[in-house]
Amino acid sequence: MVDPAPSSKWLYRLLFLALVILIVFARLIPLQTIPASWAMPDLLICICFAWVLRRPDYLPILLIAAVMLVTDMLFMRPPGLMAALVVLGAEFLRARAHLMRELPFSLEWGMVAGIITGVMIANRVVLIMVMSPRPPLGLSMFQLFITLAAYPVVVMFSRYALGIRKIAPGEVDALGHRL
Amino acid sequence: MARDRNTHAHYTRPVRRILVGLVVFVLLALFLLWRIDSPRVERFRAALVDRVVPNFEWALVPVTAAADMIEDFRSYQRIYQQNQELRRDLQKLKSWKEAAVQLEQQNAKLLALNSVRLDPKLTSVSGVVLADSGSPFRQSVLLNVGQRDGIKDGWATMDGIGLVGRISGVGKNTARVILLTDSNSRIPVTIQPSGQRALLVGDNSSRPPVEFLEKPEQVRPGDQVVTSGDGGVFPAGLLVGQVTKDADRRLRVQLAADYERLDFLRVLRSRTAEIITDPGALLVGPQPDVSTEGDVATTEGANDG
Repeated sequence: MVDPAPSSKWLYRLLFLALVILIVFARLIPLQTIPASWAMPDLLICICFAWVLRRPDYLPILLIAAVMLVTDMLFMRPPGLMAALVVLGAEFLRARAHLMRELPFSLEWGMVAGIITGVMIANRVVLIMVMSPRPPLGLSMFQLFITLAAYPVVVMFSRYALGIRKIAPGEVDALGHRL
Repeated sequence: MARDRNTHAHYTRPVRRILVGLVVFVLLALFLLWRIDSPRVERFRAALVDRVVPNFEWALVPVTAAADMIEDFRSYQRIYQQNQELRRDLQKLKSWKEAAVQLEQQNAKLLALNSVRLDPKLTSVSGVVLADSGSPFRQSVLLNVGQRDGIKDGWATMDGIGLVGRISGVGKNTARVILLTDSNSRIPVTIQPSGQRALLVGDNSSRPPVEFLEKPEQVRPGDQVVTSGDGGVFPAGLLVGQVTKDADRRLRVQLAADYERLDFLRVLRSRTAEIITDPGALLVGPQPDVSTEGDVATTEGANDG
């Protein structure tokens, strides 16, 4: 490759898509067909937010919007609402990504937790406002907490398995531009 | 992009804001459209799922199968417990099967009881068999109906199909039925195609013999045996059974009633035979008026004709 930086960027975008497909696949497997009292963490939000904080250029807004919209459709959620909220949350984080570079992980975790909680609450509030049927509150709370707990795991997986680390201050890309 | 951000940051930021706003607006608009016109969006969703999910099928099916196999493999680890559980279940199922078979037969009998058509003058009292004689030498059963229910000695008792015996001994709440197989049982019968009268004599065997036949050569195995009504105790025409021939060429009766299981029995209310004192009254009837005597007589004659 003549231009290594864009190729690695596209590679990670493809990797993101592969992860999305894996998550969708795992959730669509009909292993648990009876209603359960527990829920899996929403790993997709975790991955989106973790990656946006580390490498904003890997996840363009349109990619996030498209992926979230498709999963809205596939997981029988109200189409568009969750996607819009996740896009807003991701853009909020993207605008502060350069601030987060110097912060320790615990603060980042707290901030992401606040945003995920905000996304969930906004989702529910909007559903209440339009008088749409909502998932049971207990199950939603359970999923929120387990998602927050899963965030460090997702970050560690991204960091050590996929090599997505925070951009160090003053780091430049292959062409010598500041990230 | 990185170059743009570096060099033109002052105008890419508003553009980016517009882009974000546009995306969020489109998504929320889709959500509102779904809320307003749900069927259309749901159709789209269905079409999308229909397009996407079957693509996973090649992987979904084997992975599900593999997960099931892993689950199965795990269950091998407790195969002994499972075996015990299955044995217990099998025991339970066996008892249930027995109950089901019994209920089926009971039901068939009850249905037969319901559909039996007899002389409409005959009414019956149904009773449940409480006990048998308790002795191998006496063939009788005890019913849970008695004097309280108007049972009288000598009444015929049937199950759904055929004659079982007669009442002999009535208590307040119970009545004993002497079965046809009892050695004290003597029932006047008619053997149907030939119309011969005979006596069914119980001899403590499952097939009571037929005795006092006038012409035994006219009776063939398979002939129907019904009560004759002689003696005025039993109503005529109750099914008893079929004629069979035993090893030493004696005529015996294969009883129609299911003696293996006597559960519900019907006691037929036999009416005391009416004694006709005035035959003329039966033929002519009461005559209300002398002047219309001729008309009445012609009418009666027409009716008789």
